[in-house]
Amino acid sequence: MLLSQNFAYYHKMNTPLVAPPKDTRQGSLAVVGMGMTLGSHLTPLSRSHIEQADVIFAGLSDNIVEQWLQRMNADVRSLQPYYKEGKSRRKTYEEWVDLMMTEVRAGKRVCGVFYGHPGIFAWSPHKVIEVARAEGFQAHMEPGISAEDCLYADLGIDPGTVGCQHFEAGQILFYERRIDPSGYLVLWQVGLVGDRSLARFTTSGAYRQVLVDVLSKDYPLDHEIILYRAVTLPIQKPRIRRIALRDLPFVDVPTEETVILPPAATLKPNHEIRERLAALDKLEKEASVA
Amino acid sequence: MLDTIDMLEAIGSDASLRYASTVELTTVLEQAKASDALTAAAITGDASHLAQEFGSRRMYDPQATQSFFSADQTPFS
Repeated sequence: MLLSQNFAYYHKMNTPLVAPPKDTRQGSLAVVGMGMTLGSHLTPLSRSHIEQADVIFAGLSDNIVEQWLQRMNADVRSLQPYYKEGKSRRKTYEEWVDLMMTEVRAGKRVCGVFYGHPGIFAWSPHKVIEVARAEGFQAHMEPGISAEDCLYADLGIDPGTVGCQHFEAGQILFYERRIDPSGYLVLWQVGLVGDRSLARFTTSGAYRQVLVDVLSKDYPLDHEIILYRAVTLPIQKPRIRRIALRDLPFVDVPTEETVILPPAATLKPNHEIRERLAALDKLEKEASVA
Repeated sequence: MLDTIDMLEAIGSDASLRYASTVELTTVLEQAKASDALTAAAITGDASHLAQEFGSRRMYDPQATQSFFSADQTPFS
């Protein structure tokens, strides 16, 4: 049936609309975001996925948010117990994919619920969708409000003004990346920067000193940087601290905090390209007159 | 009667409550007979008070590391 015919059918029925019957033999997967703040960010569609699923797998960062989720579905299974100090996070993430796929293969409607946006800094949600689709199951992702979204609102930053680069902080150390100090630089997971074991959940100030040394190639050491944490419960306020770049090794940086470096340089005009564009403008104007 | 999670959901989804002053929110919570833990958390903005009611459980930040999956698959193994 065409989509337009479907709508006509639903209009005739009068609302509320009745969803078409599901094929109960076929497993399916929805991966949804819980947003950052309890009560504020969960979208109606994500909530519907949660309520209609047979089984929920929860990758959340707050115990109370997890208990809130348990009120929406009777079968909520936390992914937290798969973390362990000294165990590679890579193994943990692979186990999460296996857990979700086992239930999809068993014919269940599975919903993976992750805090923030399920597809940002999130390997397992993307991987499980890839695996499910490769095996012929219906699988998709619903976006959520992420820490990045909250950051723009709480700090009054518009990434469109001068541009904004985002990196997991470790990438700045492990790889040769090109930083543009005329835009914003947002560094995630600074609290465990430099961990190569994949088994630690925090690293010391000495590792952050290495990060500062790398950043000092593009930023003065007295450059003001921002440490930010979004709100997970609606009785909290966002945590916003402003310090000099040189002080980063000497302050506590929990893993949930993000480091923002505002621009340290002004945008440099590209005169060559501007002249080329002006020449194009002139050509098009002349062509329109002729 | 609403419990603490119901009240947190109500605060999170109501524009007036979400940005109410501490005094206003405390008054509302007292009228609703909120738990001492929630009232203390609302007054201080410190969620750790809620551990009295929900217990304290270490929660890891999921998906904290991605770099090892990006450019090369096993740089540190």
